[in-house]
Amino acid sequence: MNFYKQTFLILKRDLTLEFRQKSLLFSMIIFALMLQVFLNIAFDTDMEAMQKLGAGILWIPILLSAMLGFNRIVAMDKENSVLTGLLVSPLDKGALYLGKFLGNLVLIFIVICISVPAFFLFVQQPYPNSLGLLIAVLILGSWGFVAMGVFLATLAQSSRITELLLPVMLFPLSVPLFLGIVQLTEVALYPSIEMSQNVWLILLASYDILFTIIPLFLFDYLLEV
Amino acid sequence: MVNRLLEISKIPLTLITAIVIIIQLYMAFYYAQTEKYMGEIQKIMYFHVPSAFVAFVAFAIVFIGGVLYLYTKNKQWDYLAVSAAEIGVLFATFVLVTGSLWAKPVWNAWWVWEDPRLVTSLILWFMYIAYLFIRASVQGEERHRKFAAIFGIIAFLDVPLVYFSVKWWRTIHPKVIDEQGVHMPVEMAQTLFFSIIAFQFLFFTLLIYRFFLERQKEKIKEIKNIELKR
Repeated sequence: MNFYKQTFLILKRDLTLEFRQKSLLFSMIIFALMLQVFLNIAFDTDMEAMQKLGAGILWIPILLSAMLGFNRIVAMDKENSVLTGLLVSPLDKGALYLGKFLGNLVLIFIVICISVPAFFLFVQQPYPNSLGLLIAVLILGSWGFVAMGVFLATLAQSSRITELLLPVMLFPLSVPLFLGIVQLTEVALYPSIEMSQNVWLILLASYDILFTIIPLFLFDYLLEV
Repeated sequence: MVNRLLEISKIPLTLITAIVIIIQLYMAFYYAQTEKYMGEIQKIMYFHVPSAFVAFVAFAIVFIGGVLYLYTKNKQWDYLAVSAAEIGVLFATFVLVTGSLWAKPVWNAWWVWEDPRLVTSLILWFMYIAYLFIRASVQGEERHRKFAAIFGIIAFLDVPLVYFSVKWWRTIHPKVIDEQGVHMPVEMAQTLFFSIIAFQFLFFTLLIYRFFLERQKEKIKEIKNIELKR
């Protein structure tokens, strides 16, 4: 069985499990929407303030609901020693990582499809300056965050304090990603902001590529023990 | 062989470091002139900048130690990595504290978010705190070594990205060294470069001692385990 087929099988397994119970997906969506509402109430938004905060308010619910997913995906594999089963199967560890990564990415995309329109609905924002750029940033941003998140969640699972350790590792490592997505989202949302977007796009893309490829190689070591 | 060499060089290196640090202190406080506008407070630079260099070298060693540990499975590399990480965090903390002490009178603020180097250093500090966190919280001998090594690799690869991303913001950090050369009097420049070298000596001395400490700790653990099995 080749690498891509294995990846696809893991992806299929994760999504099948998820869509059967739907509990994780629902809680992620509800959480994202709730956070969206609460942030809007908390910042008591007026249009001018929104120009400064908008990019953050768009992203915080997405990133935090992604965090919910990371913890869950690890817990799921601990039940009934699923992970041990996967490890004894003749499966490429890189494919295991890639499959899990893609599975999580699909869930995040679903959350985005609901949370981002909600953002425009609640905040009564004008039509985004550049819809294409916004979509590109949403894809690149969540890609990088999920790639790092799935990898670090697997790393953190053998700790006594998994839930605490994950953010401690993930947030500092994702700073370049955060800066990139916030800057680009601002450009995408508001026509008045001028900025050189190319450098940020290159940064995002290199972050994504780097932290998708490196885990592929290091995942072997991670699961070996 | 290498260990033997380190054992032998321990005492001379300590002596050299002591002498070098004394010279460094003399140069910082007496040799280099006091800066006209900032006054005495400027002397923090001779400790702040060298500490930053130490922290960076330390984190590079964490990375190298991690890679070599995963590759060779030789525990010595992990001892090296953990020793470097602890000293690196110590010096990084020192960098943040002295930076704030300097910034308060000069910039009139303890901390400024607009400056890329401040933000980068803080993030680096967080990363290596996380590294020590992993070591403390992951159970199992070989496990936490392996996990720490993996995190050390990832963290170090993230450093250039953090640096560039934060750099693309506006900067107000004084830039004494740039493409045009060094913008300060000769004595001050000499003192600064000497301080950087002196602090590297200090770092390597501490590193060797910390490395042997780690080795002894592991030995004691092994002996205890043997006793328990009897």
